[in-house]
Amino acid sequence: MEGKSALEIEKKIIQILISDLEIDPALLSAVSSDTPLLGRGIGLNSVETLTLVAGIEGAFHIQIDDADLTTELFKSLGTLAEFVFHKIAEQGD
Amino acid sequence: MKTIPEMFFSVAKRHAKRAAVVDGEKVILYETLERRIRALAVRLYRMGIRQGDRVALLLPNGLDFVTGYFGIAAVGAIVVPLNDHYQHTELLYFLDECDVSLLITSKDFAPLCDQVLAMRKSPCQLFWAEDLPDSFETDDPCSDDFNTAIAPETPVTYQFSSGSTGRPKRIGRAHTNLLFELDSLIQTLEVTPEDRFLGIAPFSHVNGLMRSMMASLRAGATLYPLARFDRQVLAETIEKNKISIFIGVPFMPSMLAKSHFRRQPDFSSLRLCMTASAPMPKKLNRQFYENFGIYVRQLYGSTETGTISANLGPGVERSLDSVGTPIAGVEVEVFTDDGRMAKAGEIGEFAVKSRATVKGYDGLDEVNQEAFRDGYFFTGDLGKRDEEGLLYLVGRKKFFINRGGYKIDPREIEEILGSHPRVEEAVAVGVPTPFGDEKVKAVIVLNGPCTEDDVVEYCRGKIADFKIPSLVEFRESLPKSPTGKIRRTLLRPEA
Repeated sequence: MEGKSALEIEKKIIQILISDLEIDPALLSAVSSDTPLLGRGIGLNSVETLTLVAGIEGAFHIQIDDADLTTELFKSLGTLAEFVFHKIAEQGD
Repeated sequence: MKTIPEMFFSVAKRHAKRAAVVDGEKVILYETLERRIRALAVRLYRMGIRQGDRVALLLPNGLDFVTGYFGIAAVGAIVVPLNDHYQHTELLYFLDECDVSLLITSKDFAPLCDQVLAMRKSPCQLFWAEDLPDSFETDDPCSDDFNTAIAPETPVTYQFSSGSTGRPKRIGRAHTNLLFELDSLIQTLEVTPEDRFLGIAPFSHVNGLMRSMMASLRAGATLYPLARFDRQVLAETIEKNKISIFIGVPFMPSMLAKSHFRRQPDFSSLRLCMTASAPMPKKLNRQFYENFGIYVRQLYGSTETGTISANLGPGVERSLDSVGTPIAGVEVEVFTDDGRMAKAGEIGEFAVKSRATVKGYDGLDEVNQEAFRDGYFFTGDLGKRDEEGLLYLVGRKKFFINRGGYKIDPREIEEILGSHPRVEEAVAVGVPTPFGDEKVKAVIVLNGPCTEDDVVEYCRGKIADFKIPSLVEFRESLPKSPTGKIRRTLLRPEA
């Protein structure tokens, strides 16, 4: 987990949104920690959230249980990054 | 065995002590499942359900869906399976279109059902799955009343197919259609009672219904239904229960291939992993093979015809794109635009002939004349047959959006978008994803201030989540032909 701050994780998540979900980078230029990932934010649907999670798992070598994929987790980019931060601490090499 | 209930009761008698369904911790033997089904049939009969009546099922995959399906069929009524992601507009449409007189659902859907049934003009009874009877009272004087002769040529299931225009079209699949498809499928896939099927594709859709639920129960095998796609639960179910057949949609193995597991699950029990309803991306198929030691093989079918072909041959790594060869008893021809049979490698429209194919869409004579000709159903799918006889899909004649295997009629989305007060004109198109399906894009001309979020939020609750546009583009105008028809091809990314 060395060197992986929540902010760096956020940046990586944004990269995954661009590479794996093919979201236009211009649309993501204004996102912040508070930007919701669902609904009136980035607007991910259920299929897209799972795609994002699989991308995060590959990038950080962690397993995220689907049972943890609640609406609360995707409340904002910041909440997801925070969750990933703790998962890395829990499972990281 | 000429009808679906006869088929089930015969299999249940032969395999009485074998496990029919394993739903979580519940292990249901064929004899127990038969009692549940007969008990439900009695209850339905007492509630006034008779042959030809339409009974809808709004339930996730599970024991209750299985019981509901065969219970309805046992009375001779027609099963209307409904996608449990549907919202009130869609449910109302399907209930009205099928003239449903009873709905079997779970109390989880109570608020939605109350809302929908209040909007219906004709009455519809509700039956809660939580009240499903667990046993069959053999001394019940009414117990055999439902058991009257059912004509094999009459429909047992109503399903819907996206056509080239208009709302989804109703198809009545007869007992004979389903039995023929099941026997062909079982013969082709060499299914035995020793097989263990994963029931993860939705049973409300032809793929999950026929190729997992029905195929398993027809063969006397064991069905392991899963209500929703959860990667860890799915992987654990395969490993723990030594699942031998997993038939899903491409998104499922694609996600498993991409996922990081702390311990790689053991899928060595799988002898068949297949997908249908959308193309399986080659790159992810290879990744799946690297991770789990088995290639995903493609199946091809339609609601009108049932299963058409399967790629089961050796050397699959050289033909991952192929949907294989026709299954037993199914004939596929490729016709060019000028109506002649295509040569090997030449692209044309797939036309299918088999006893599993329906005679036509209900009440749509004009559409039927176009789609059902010379004993063939013209699928609208474009493809080719290679020198070895393998079929390849390359596109489609009809416009619909393939979202994770669900064929969405774009006009259904356009109708919702068009009802927004700030929308002047709207078109929905499919944008390819890395998973072989498409996401929904809305291209909109506005007549007043409106944001992308406004559009998405407006759709929420009116249509299922998977139909809500992932992308919204605003334009000054839409490209049109000289006759004023919107040129959809110019709005798709490959154009």
